[in-house]
Amino acid sequence: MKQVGLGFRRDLSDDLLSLDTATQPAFIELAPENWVNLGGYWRKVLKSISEKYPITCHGLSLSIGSPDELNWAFIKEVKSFLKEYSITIYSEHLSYSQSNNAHLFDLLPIPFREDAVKHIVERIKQVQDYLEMPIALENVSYYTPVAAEMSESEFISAIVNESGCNLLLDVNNVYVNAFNHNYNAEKFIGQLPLHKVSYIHMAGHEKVAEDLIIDTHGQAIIQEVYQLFESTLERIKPVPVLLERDFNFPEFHEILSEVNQLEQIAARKWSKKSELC
Amino acid sequence: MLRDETRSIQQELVEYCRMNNDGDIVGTRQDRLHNYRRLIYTIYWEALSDAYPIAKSILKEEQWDKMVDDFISEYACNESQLFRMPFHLIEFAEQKSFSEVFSIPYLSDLLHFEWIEIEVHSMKDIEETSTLSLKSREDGHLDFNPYLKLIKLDYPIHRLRDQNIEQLKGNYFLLVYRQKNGTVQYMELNGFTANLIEQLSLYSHDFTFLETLNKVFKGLHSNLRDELNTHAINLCISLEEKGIIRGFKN
Repeated sequence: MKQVGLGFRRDLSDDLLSLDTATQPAFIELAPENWVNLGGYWRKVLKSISEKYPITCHGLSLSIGSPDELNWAFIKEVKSFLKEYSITIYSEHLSYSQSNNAHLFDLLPIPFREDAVKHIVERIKQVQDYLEMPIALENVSYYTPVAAEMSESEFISAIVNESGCNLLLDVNNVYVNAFNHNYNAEKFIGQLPLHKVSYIHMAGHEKVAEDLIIDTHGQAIIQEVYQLFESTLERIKPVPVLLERDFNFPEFHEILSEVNQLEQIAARKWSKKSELC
Repeated sequence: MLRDETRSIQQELVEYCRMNNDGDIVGTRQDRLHNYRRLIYTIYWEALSDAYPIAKSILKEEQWDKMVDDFISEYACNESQLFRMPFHLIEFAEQKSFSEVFSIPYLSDLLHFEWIEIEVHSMKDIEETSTLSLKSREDGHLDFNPYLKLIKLDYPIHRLRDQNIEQLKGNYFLLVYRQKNGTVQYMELNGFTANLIEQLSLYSHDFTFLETLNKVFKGLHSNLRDELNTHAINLCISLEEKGIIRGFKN
């Protein structure tokens, strides 16, 4: 059974709609913010996509780590959207994008601190209660720590364990962070609550300086990230895997080739695991 | 539950990204912080450039960049959906009088005009109701295309490509509407017709077409009233052909 999906971008819609069942990705992931309350042409495209593919949602604007209040009007719209398209997987980022009512549309790093853990755990519980479903939170890439009082893995683990949410493990982000902050990616993954991983992200990135990688989603996945992916799969149960490609699109067959490569790795690693079980 | 210090640090990071602060935030790497400011600036710049391609092409590069820069730093954009963020630039540009600052008197109208196209293009779908053609009966409640906006401009932005519109300040009315195939069209109207369409649309729920005409043209001489009624009927038939009126509600 196929495991690997593809992030939905408008630039890819024609290609995705033209694929046959044998070649199409297992599912499509989209950001609800880009589609909620949208009508007209793109609404029709979304309807066609939803008739062809299972959809998962990966949000951008929940701002779960923000010092501002949760935006319940927005969360209500997300819930309605999830219901309309029968979407059962909703994930978000362990970051924040808003303060003092100013939305920045980017993923800012949260201080790794105990009070931030408590603050976020409470908010996750509220969101999960309202949505009547567990959410998964993604370990985000970050370029500077912010007033940290605990390690990143302690921070993520505490939030996942205390809130009951799932973990969206972004393997590329682990690689990027390990490089940028000089730690061991394999060891870091071993410190996470891997039994709570419910979803995986894979993507490309861009090295912009000798000591800095930016998580762009604009390049192909590099070999080292594939290797980290392989070793990670040996440690977790089978879950959906997603390829993120947000811009700088190559020919579509190249994107499909990456999806297929991930599919082959997942099949190899997880079928072995099933045999052992 | 969040300590004041943590809250303050988080607020400082957002302010650093928005404003031209020095970035002296406790426990951060000064040499890396600027990446966030750059990434956020790019997100805003690209979204605004996509939404307002004509305004961007008319402004000088430094004017466009200043407008984007000021918008990020001075306007707290409380908007969860990125594609709706550019709408807020209209209000900000008016607050800051950019039309005067850049000596482009029609800038506010232009931003408004460009945004209306996006808004109408993406208006939330509404379930279609059953209608009857205007030609099939004498009277009924008009059913207007729900995806339309009537806008008033001080400058004829729709003639921008062909004319120097700075000298043409006046009252211009445009009906912007979405067709069945999803494309957006506009139609220039004179003031009388714009007002008539507005009234017909406004009263269509509570009054029939003929009742509305009686209401609108009340008190006029009967000859003039007959003439205007005929004009209104022909106008509505022509609007039906364009898909602006769907017919009489069934």
